[in-house]
Amino acid sequence: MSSILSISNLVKKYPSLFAVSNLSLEVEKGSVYGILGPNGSGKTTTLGVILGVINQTSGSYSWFDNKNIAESRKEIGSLLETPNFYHYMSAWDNLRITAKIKNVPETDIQRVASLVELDQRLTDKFRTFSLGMKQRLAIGAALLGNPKVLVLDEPTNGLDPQGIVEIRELIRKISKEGVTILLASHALDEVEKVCSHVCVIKNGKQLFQGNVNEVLSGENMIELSADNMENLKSTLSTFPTVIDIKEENNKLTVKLNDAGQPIELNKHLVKNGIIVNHFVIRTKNLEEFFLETTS
Amino acid sequence: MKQLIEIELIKLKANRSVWIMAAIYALISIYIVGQTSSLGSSTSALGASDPLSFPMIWMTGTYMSSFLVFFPAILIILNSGNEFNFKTSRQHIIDGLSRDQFILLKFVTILIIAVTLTLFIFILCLLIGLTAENDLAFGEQFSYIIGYFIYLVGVMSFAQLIVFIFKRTGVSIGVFVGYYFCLEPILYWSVFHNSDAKFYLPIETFDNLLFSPLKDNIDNLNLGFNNLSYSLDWSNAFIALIYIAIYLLIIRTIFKSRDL
Repeated sequence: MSSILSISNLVKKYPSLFAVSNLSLEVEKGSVYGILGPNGSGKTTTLGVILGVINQTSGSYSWFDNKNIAESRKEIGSLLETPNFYHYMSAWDNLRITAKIKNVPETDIQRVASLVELDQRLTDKFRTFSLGMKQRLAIGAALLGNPKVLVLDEPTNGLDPQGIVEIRELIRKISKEGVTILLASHALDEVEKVCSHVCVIKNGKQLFQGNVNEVLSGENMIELSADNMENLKSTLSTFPTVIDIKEENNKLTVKLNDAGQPIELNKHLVKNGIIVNHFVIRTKNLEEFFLETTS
Repeated sequence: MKQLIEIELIKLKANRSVWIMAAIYALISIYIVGQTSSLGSSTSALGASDPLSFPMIWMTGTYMSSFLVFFPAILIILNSGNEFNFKTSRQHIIDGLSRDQFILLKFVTILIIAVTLTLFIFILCLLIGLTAENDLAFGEQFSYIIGYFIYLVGVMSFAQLIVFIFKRTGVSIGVFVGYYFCLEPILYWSVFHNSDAKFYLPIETFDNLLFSPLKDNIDNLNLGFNNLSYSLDWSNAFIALIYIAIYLLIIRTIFKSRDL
């Protein structure tokens, strides 16, 4: 697997704080890489540095192992925070400028415009667009010239539910075509739904980096309830692979260790004469992982 | 380079304020030169016959329209101010320009406007000269067309420096107007009045390039800095180019060190 982006020991210091401190990561070709962190954790700063708009204090990064950083940016499609376009110009003229910077033929504009469903509005001025349309135009601009990598910063921010679904579909579609995607988000379900790898950062520090499946597999969680909750609870606590029991909303949430099998737990309960009326196996979701890692 | 010119032409063409200012600029310069025609019979300070016939018209025309340099300077502030206001300066970098290329891109805007206005003045002078019914002649006075070009590039580069420092269009226009109409005249007429330093003020350096050949301007010319001549003062032109280079270097230092 070849590396698309490698960041090593990146530091960005502002007078009063470290926005990013000692961040290192590798993004491999074809992956959908999520940078996850609460607001103000350094996600946008990190992306700003690797896209050349923020000067790092120390550390380095490289794209495609290429020496010329500005030239490699031409092969990256990015959407960093808000869409930046000339309000007084038409969508068409705005995209022409992007195309010229990226050395992409103007014929590609029509393609990306229909991809983001703005082909009917190309001659309209940017300022007449709704927020969702502006966001779609920015994604369209990012897709000009079939970039090898897409860098998206909170791409669904401020969109309505339908817009969010559309953008997610688009991300999945693009990633299937082999485009590597780097996605920063604080929306956990977003990262969970589309990413293959994740890096969790908080206060500029990297807390975790790895495969999303690794995060989500492992410990099993089981939600249970029975008529006699006290009895259920005491029986569960004697089961060897149970490592944690929590009670909420009249249900017990049981955490099993790596060796724990839900079916064995169920057998144990039956053996002890407990019949449950609720038994749901939950794999850990990213939210729990995130709260665990960042707290 | 071709690509940079095309990018800036798209922005300029689509900008309505460009067209409005171009129209005002053209109307006023035609009006001013028209008014000057009433002086047609007066003699030039240099003893040459008619300031509105060839070859003196090159000197007269460029000097007269230098009063309108305010317009292209404001245009530069509006144009670059847009880049900061719409954050497209940031977007250009993200899309793959290096920071040096972005500075070059903004200098290309200056060059496009300077070339256009120089051509405009050239044609205007040509038409006036031809109506004066004498033979087309360029003479050494034609060097003032080059002086006019450097003058435009210089004042616009100064405006560019201001907008790169302050980023906001309104503030930058305020600072430019305040400096151009108040601060520099004060520096010129009081602080540095008795010193040659006044000729090297940021705008005055460029003003030194162009001169009126009309008799009533002779007192100014006798201030001692400029040798009365039919030709552009090439040493002044050289100093002006150095100032432009300095402005560009400061712009580069500011823009490179800044987080966008």
